[in-house]
Parts: sequence; C-alpha cells; structure tokens
Amino acid sequence: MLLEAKDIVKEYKSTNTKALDHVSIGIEKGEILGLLGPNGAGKSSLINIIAGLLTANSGDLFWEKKKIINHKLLSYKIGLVPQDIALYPKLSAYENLNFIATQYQIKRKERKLRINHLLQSLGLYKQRNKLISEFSGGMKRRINLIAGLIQQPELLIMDEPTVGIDIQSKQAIQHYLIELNKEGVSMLYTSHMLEEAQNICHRVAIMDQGRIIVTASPEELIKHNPEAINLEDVFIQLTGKELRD
Amino acid sequence: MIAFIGNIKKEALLLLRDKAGLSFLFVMPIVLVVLMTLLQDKTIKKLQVEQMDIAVVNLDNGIVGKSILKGLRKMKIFHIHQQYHGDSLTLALAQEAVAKGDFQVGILIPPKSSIYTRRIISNEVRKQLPTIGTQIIPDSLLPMVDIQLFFDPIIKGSLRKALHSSLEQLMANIRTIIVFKSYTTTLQKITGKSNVGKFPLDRFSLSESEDLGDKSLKIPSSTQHNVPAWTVFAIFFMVIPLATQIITEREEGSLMRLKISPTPYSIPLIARICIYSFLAVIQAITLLLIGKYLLPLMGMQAFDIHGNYISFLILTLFIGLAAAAFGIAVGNIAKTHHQASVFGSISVVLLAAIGGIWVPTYMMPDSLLKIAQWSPLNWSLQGYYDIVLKADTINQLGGIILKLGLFFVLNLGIAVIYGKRKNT
Repeated sequence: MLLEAKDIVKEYKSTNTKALDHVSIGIEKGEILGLLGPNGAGKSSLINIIAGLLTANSGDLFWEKKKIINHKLLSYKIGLVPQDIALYPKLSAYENLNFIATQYQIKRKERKLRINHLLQSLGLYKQRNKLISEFSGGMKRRINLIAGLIQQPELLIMDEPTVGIDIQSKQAIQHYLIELNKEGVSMLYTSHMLEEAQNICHRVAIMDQGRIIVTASPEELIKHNPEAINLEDVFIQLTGKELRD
Repeated sequence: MIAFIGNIKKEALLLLRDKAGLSFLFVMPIVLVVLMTLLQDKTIKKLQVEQMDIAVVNLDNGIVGKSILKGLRKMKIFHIHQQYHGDSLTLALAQEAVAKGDFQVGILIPPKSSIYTRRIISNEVRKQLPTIGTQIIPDSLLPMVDIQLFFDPIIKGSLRKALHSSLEQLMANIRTIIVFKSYTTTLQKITGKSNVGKFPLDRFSLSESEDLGDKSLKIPSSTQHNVPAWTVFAIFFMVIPLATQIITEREEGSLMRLKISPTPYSIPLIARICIYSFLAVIQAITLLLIGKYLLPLMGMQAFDIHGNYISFLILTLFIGLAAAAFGIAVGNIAKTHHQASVFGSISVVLLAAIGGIWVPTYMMPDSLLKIAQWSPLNWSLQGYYDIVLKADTINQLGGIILKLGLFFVLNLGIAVIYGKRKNT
C-alpha cells in the first residue's frame, strides 16, 4: 500500500457539519483510484487532508505503512492538481512553472529540462511565454496538471482535473494520465465524469455524506449491480436521485 | 536559497506587471508632492517667516504712536507697512489687506492716544500726590485708549498669543515710561529739584540666548513637509496592492501550491517583505529626486537632507517594513478584495490625516496632536523631519525606528495568527 488513510474524521465547526465520518481508504502502488460522489460527499475534504492542506480531527495517514507526522516531508512524493487553476494569471506558463519548481529546490538546469519536457508532453511548449490570463480553459487545465507534476511525485492527487474544458483537451489530459500511470505514478482522482472514471480508474470509491459506500473496480461494480449498464447507473443506485446542494 | 530567489523573482514580476498598482505607488505621490507643495507654499511661508508684515494705522501724533512704531522696529520681527498700494493705510484698508493675507497682522493706534494716555496717568498721579491741589477727574469720565490688533486668520494658536503678548509688553513699556515721566515732573514741581525721580530703567532687561538642543518647534517649509509627507503616504499605500495580491493568491489557489511545497511559509513571507521594502526605498528615492530637482524648477525650495543619505535610507527601509507588515496583516484579515481595498485605503487615509500628512501637526489643535502620536505615518514623518530639519543621524532616530520595528512585529504577528486560523 502506497498511501493509507485510516478512520479519518473531519468536522467543520463554522458550519457544524461532519464532512468525513470515519473514512478509511488505501491507494496501491501504480494504481489509479477514482473518488466519486455527489456534491458535499466529502471528496475534496479527503483529498485536502491527504495532500496536507487540511488537518483531520482524528484518524491517521500512512505512507508505505509509516505514519505521516510531518506532511512537508512528503511534499516531494505527493503532487496536487487542485480544481481551481492555482496559477498566477500575470505570469507566463514558464514563469509559473519555474516558480513552482524553485519551491521544490530544483536546480536551474534541471528545472528547465523538466518544464520543457512537460510542456512538450502536453502540447504547450510553443505557448510557454504567454501569460496564463491569455490561455484558454483547456490550456490552463493542462498547465495546472503540469504544475502538480513538476516535482515528479509518486502519487498524484487530482480534484476534477478535466472540469469545464473541451473534448480535445480532456482527451489529451486522459491520455497523458494513462501514460504517466504506465511510468509508475499512482493517482487519486475525483470527478463527476463517471465515463472518464470508468475509462481510466483501476478502482473507484463511491462516497456519500462523509462515508465511503463502496470500493471496487468499475467492472466489478457494474457486474454486481445487474440493473446497471455503466458506472453512472451504479452511482445513482448507491447515492440516490435526490438533488444535492 | 533557490526557493527564496524564486519568490523574490515572482513577487518582482507580479509587482512590475501590476500597472494600476504601480501608478498608485509612483504617479499619485509625485503628483501630490508637486501639487501640495505648490498649494501650501504660500500658507506655510506665512507661518514660518522670521519677519512678519504688519500694517500700522497710526492716527496718533504723539508719544504712544511713535513709541509703538519704534518698539515694533526694535523687535526686528516685523516689516512695518504704513501704506498699501501707494495709499496711506486707513483702518478699512488695513483690515482688507490683512484679510487678503497681504499682511499677517494689523494694528490701529487711535487718534489722541498719547493725549488720552497722559490724561489718564496724570489723573492717577494727582490722586497719589493730592497736595498739588489740582482737579481730579472721576475714572468713569476718563477717555479710553483702545489699541486694536487684527490678524490674518491663518495666524493661529501660539503664534497669535506670542504676537499679542509682545505688543502687550510694548504697550506696558510705553505706559511705564509715561507713568514715570508724570511722577518725575510732579515730584520735580513739588520739591523744586531737577534730579528727583529719575529711575534707572535701562538697568532692567530681558535677553534671549541661542536655541538649545530641542528644535522641535522649527516649522518645516512646504517642500520640507510635503516631500517626506507624501513619501510616507505613498509607502503606506502599498498596503492596497499588497493586500490585494495576498487575497488573489488565496482565492485563485496559488497559495495552496505554496502550502503543499516543502518550502516553509516564512520564505515567501520574507521575500514579499523584502520586495515591498525595496519598493519603499525606490519610492522614497524617486520623491527625493523630484523634491531636489523638479521643485526648484517650479520656483519651490529644493528638498535637502543635508547629506544624511544613510539615515534617510535606513529610516525608509523601516517605514517600508512597517507598511509591508501592515499590508500583509490586512491581506490576511480581509476575506475579499473589496474588504481589503476599502479597509486598506480608509485606514491609510485616516492614519495619514491624523498623522499630519495632509495638514502638518503643528497646525493641529492639542487634542489631535495626542491622537497623531499613535499613527505610524506620524512617526515616519517625524523621522524625516528630524533628518531634514535637525540633520539628525541614525543614532538619534533610534526611538522612531524602534516604534516602526514594533509596529512591524505586531502586524506580522497578527498576519501569522489570522493566516493560521484560515488554514484550519
């Protein structure tokens, strides 16, 4: 097991809500794990805790079976692709990536090599000197992904990395993620796009109301729900048709 | 070090590409320095002149009128004017000229002041030495001698009191001389001796020594006030772009990247403080050069820091640190851009107003002076005044630097506490 979250509880005092209610989940080495659930299910809280952005009220995290005490020490091993385009709009793509790389103490020559390689892999090399504010939504998403990969992490956490972009950009990102996974990068991935999850995830965990309802491969889930013909049907069966805030 | 340099470069690029922010920090203070120096020049000159223009309407032909004029000349603080645009001064003309600000003070010596003064004093002497047997007039029937003073409204507070008391003193001297003369004449008549009653008045004097160490009452010129005042204001105005930058970073998620990176949070914080403190130094040097070279071309006094460049730079650096920490605190406390820009601008404008940036503190009433001492903009301005007016060195600015340092620490503490609270 690469990363394991055990019995995680997260309560928000300001809204008096329990976002995570004794959640346990593990990510195997080389695995793409999809974290699915309706709005407010607790997906973002869980990945923020795993990434070290939030502190859990209780529960533990383990990296290769060792308890994580100082998250900063795992910064090089865990990459995060947040749902927001977490970049400086007034800096160019290269300047943004270069800045992020300096925060990982990557030396100048190495920075240049890594950034240019990643930009080329996602088809953005020619636009590297353009300001982020001048990029299209799809280009921003691709740069956002590159920013999460700059330190060559072993685990990549992605919060809806393809939301709001065109089909071409979505496919480019999906193909790149599959290639990256083949190179050995494990992934924890949240999405509302269940077809996408069905295509790229080895396993999915379906969450609702701060709990994990089920964890299995998409094929197993469909197989065990005879009325379902795809992951979306399974999702509706497990979480219901009730509208969420 | 790689992370620190990365942060410095990032902050510098963001700052350089914020055209609106930069124009606020450079164009606005340059315009304000030039405009306010020009506007306040005449007013401040009136307050700081060593010789004042006084309109004297002397309608008396005797000793009182002559003695007042002689006394005023002897005081050497007045330019005496008895004519206005070629016409002899009348009360109405003098009042008009003072109201226009052409003279700072006017004095009316009414007709027959000398005759009436003598009459009043002689009557009193007769009361004291009744043996003469001449007629004594009741006090209620005696004439009034009313010498009138009128001031330019700009002359306020202690300066007005000082002028009033100087003229009061002059009048008292004249009365004393007339009293003694009257007694002398009377006594000489009674005794028949010509050397009786001659008092050695010249043996009493009041002399003034050189100014002692504290020169705090020295009034700065328009240039000496406005260049440092708007420099301080411009430096503190960095609060708005700085706080906005922090909120943008938080809202757009780039702060998240800093949080998950192995770089401690103190590194981007220190880098930001360094860049903005450096910006403060650049702002101060720009305004110093404007004061030194542009203002004289417009007929204003040149700004001079008496070669105290090291003191000027160190003080500016501490002002920059204080302003940067304040901006970081505002950025961490405010939840939205709107909150940051409203709170940032109102707080800076208010601190500037009470700190003597808009109107110098020496023009303020005592009650406001006490409040002014709580404004970091006032400490900063006083520091510049000390360099410009007293040629103080950095050792003598220790108190001000300590206050700015404490303000920096306090605001940084607030920023860290609020920042941590928002993270949980």
